[in-house]
Amino acid sequence: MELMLGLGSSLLSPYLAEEAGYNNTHSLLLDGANDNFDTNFSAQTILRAAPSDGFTVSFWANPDTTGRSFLGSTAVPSTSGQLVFMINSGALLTLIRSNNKAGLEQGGSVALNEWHMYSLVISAVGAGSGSDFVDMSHFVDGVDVNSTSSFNNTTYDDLALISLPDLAIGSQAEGSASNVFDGHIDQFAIWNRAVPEAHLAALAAHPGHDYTTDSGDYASSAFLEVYYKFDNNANDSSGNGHNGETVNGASFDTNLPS
Amino acid sequence: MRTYVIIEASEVSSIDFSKVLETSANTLRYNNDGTKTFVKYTGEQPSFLNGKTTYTESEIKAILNNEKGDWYTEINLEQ
Repeated sequence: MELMLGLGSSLLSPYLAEEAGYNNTHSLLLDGANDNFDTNFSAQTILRAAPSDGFTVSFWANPDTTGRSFLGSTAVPSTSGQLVFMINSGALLTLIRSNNKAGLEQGGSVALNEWHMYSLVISAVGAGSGSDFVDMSHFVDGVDVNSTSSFNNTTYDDLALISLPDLAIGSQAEGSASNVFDGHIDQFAIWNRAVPEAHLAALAAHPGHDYTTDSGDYASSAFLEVYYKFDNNANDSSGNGHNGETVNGASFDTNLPS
Repeated sequence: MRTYVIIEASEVSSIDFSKVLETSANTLRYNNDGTKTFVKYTGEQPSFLNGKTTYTESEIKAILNNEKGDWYTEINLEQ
């Protein structure tokens, strides 16, 4: 049996040992007008906690439009500090900005009216000497879709010192209803580590998997900071108590990743 | 089915938030010069919106997403 599991992990990847007992029932539906979701989670939690470990943001999305909208973002109403992960003209875009310094990554197509898993992985975060660099990568369905870009770590360090509002899903910032997402979002998670590609690929191959359960190639459950299943509620399933709130009529329905 | 109504910013104080889907005055979306916002409801029209022009979801999104209109917001992506 052990041999079979080993072969499965190495040759049949992406692999989960079992379809763990989770029945994904609902996703979050945003109307593209002003619906959004307030996470009650500050990005400072991941920016300040252990920068050398990086972090990962991942979710399934099925957009009705792919113009310019925010999938998950943190921003202040100026250019002094932003951490955004968004759709820009049909492509993924990440922008990290602090004061007058910024890092930007754009790449990875976003499909209209299709479910796919989109992930941002921040890794190789240095100690903040100014000579270190932060790497940003975009993944679609667990596959690295563009060459990794880097930016000077001082940008990241400065951002960690700026007071940012709670992370908002589907809008530009907490309390903002502009540049809103239009469509469905499911399985939104943040890990306080750079999740390995094999782990993301395993989750992408099994969209109903419970991220709090390690299985097969997926072994990152211990690093979950936030996890919204959107199963007809706004609860955080990570165990960290970041229960969110639907805003302006955001709702849940049974259109699910498959 | 949702129905959308654009109102003047000066009318926000008259919104009965128990009758619309918006969460509060703090979560409303305004146009670029801050003079207009909108609310949405399902079912019967709340009385405080009587006489106002109504829009379907596709109609309101066409207004909001018009790049030449006064609801579209540019995002600064310069590094």
